[in-house]
Amino acid sequence: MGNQQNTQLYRRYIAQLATAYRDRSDIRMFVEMLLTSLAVFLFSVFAIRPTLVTIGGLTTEISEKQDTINTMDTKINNLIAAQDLYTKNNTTLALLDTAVPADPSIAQYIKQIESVASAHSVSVFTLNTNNIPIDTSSQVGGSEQKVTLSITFSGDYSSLLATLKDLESLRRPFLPTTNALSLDESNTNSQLFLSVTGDAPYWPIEVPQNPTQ
Amino acid sequence: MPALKRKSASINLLPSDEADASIKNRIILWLLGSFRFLVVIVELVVIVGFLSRFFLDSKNADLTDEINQKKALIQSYLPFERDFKRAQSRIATVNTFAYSQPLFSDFVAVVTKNLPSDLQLTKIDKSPNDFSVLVVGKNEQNILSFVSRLKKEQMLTNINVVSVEEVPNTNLIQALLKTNIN
Repeated sequence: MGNQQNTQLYRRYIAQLATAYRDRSDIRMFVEMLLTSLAVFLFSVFAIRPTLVTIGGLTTEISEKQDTINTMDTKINNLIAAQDLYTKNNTTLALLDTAVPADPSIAQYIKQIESVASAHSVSVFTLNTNNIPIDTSSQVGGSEQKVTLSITFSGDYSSLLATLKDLESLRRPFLPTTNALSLDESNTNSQLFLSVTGDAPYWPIEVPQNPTQ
Repeated sequence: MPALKRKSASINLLPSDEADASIKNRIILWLLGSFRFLVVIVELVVIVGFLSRFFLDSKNADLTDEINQKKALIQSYLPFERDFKRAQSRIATVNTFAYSQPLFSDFVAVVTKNLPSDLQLTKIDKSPNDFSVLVVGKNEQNILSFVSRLKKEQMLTNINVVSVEEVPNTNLIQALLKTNIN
């Protein structure tokens, strides 16, 4: 009984709504606008948005790839220019292997220093070095390394000055940390000493990393 | 006598306004009007999107191929690039080691050039921050003369007399000067 009453009640409400919709133009317009808005929303969400998202994604990807190609073009042009420059200065660049060798090459360097000293008739009083690696393969390649040398020469002033000038103009540069030219009068014969402490560079070869590792 | 009048029947074959205003008709009208317009617009957008994908996909594939070609070219330059960067770094090292500091020999030459004959140079030192000169003379005038001469040298700046003291068991005076180089 209760269900039938409810059904009749709802039918009356629906009939009243239909009557109101039929009779009142503002309700009709409102309902049509609501339906139209709903359709626009549904189409926008389920049809237009995925299309625009796909097209937008593709356009962005193309734009990024274009930028990548421009960057790569610049790099290729720079590499070509660098190769030209490298080829032109190839003979000069070969001197870099002497100036900054791949290993400490300390024996060769000491020979050079001794030959400079003997050329100016100066004696090497002391010569010390820091710990120098014999095998540089364990060292990190592609970074500057240095050996520290401490040398004391004795001789007359002009010879010591000439030795100093030659040391400063060696092909393998020597960055002095401390220098001293001193007169030792403790003995009966006064002696003039030139002490030079500094660093000589070397640059171990970088072992290329295996890209598969 | 009242005349008996028959009610006249009207026949109208045109669709009534009530029929137009029924819900079913209005829905049909909406579907054929606004909704159809919306569907056409949406279809146009989707078709344009669909067609443009042909063009965009093709362009995207071309760009991918181009990138792969250029990548291969750049990779072929990799050993040269490594050598070039190593050369650049080593040149920078040579510049740092050879030219970053004033030469000690230049300083010694300037000091000895300005040394008065009655002063004796005992020691010239170069530390990372400054240069120092130790001289021994008979009197203060010689030392002052030496300092004033050094001050005229454009190469030297901040010339300071750090100490002046007597040398033990002699009549000599020892002076320690410190200076910097431009």
